[in-house]
Amino acid sequence: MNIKITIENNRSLIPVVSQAVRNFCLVADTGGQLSLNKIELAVVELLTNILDHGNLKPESEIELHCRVNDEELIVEVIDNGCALSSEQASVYLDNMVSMPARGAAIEALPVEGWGVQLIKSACDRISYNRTDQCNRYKLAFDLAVAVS
Amino acid sequence: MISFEHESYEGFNVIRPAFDRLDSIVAPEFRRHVIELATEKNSTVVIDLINVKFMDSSGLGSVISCYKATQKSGGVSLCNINEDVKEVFILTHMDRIFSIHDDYDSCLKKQAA
Repeated sequence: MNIKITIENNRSLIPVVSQAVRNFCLVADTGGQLSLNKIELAVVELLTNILDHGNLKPESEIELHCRVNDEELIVEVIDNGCALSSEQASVYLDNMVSMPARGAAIEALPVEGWGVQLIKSACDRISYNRTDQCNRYKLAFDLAVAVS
Repeated sequence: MISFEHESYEGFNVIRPAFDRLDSIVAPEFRRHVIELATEKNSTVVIDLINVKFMDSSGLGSVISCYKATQKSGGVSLCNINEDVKEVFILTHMDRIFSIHDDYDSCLKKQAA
């Protein structure tokens, strides 16, 4: 089962798209094994990053391809903005998740920069590559193993 | 245009967003509104999130920003957070930092104590 969604370069469409992905998961995940909130979070954060920092042209569009099989949900997001630098890509691809320690001083907490951390925490795997002058992000969400 | 409900008590004020998504679209106005209220009343602000069903990193950042900006006037407490919104606090370990109350009554008792 799969769907393709194409959206314009317009951040006000993010809630509509994320709701569409959520609805797809509701229909596709008949066993209720996916965390819909985590999926919506990861999609919202990735789209927000692309629209805010991707240097897209005004007429650019972003494609989302969602497909589910017996083991996982894959959400592939494709944009034709500038390529990520190796440093930017590594923020998505490394396994580092920077979270505050218990008792951390509130003054020291960052106000921004939580989006990528949330993406990495919400999905099980993320990959990025650049082909055909497009950025391609792939978010994978494992279907939970059913408990008998 | 987003809207809020307000309640005033002795020493603290309650603000209840009347929208269901605390995301990058509304976060700047939410932040401004909470900080204005805390500064104007010079009191603790209780943010009642009963209507909020989804929060992203911008929403989280706005809450952190409110927390930092209102510390001198009494800070911010949170209550009535649904499971999806709570998940954002847990994923970022912010549940260890913020004063989060399960429901409105326990939050009011804590504020009144």
